[in-house]
Amino acid sequence: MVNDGNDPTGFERRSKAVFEASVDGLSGDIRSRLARARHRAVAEVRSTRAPMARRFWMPAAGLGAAALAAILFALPMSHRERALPAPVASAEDMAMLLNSEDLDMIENMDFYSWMDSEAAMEVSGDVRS
Amino acid sequence: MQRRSGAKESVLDQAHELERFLAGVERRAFRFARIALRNDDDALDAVQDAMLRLARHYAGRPVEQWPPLFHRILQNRIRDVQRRHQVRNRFFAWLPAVGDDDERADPRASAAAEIPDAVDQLMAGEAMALLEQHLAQLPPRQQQAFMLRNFEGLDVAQTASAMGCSEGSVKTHYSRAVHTLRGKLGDAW
Repeated sequence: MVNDGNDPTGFERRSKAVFEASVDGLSGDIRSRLARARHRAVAEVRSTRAPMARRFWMPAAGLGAAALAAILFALPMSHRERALPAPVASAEDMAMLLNSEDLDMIENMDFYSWMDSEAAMEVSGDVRS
Repeated sequence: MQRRSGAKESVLDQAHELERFLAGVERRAFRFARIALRNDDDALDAVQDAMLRLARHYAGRPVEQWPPLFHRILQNRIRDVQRRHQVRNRFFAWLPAVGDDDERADPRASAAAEIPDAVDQLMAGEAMALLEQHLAQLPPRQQQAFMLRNFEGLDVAQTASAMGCSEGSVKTHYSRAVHTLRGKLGDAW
């Protein structure tokens, strides 16, 4: 009678014993590699703590950012007025820097220096003549 | 704060339980995979992959569900490797010269009919070598049913869950496996 969950036959007992003996006889190298694989798998479970930490800290960081924004908007008006001239000045600087004509001049600097030298030569020629 | 430390303890408990389960099952799992794949590296890869998948996807399940889940994952991995070998062997069959060399170099190519090598006989003894040789010749489902029921000690329901079939099929596969093996090993045992 083949075992269906009841008493194992002699053949089943013998084959099980032989198998267990072969498991006990595994080499140290195989055992060590299996242990390393197991540690890697267990580390996967332990690493699930990282997402939990993220879940905890991300809302806290969001709240902090919102609080900082609220403080900046709630600053007294006098503080903002004192701070205005500098942005205006810097806006003018930016307008100058972004003026396309000025940029063309920077790009054609060689041309303008050549014109300068030509003009100087003409002047000196006029003087000589 | 208390809830946080409780969750941390729960993860550590889970990791501890998983460590204990895997330590108890890993060597037999390796022998299963080794019998089916006839190669140490392939068997180790299959077991390692099964461990990782259990940890990633099923560690949160109740501990009593782990044995059939682990063995189902392992059996799937073993089947994947066997299919890969079949495809590779079919591919090399188109290239006779290369295929011949490869078959000489790779003992898995004629695994079922091959007598286990000397290392196996020294390691597991002559009886296991004989058993392994005849197990390798069984149809895969009979081989799985025999190893899970007899070697791993899973009950019929757990074996059915691990194999993804009905309990009736498990009984049929197991019964045929035992009859075949007993018939072949009867004289030697």
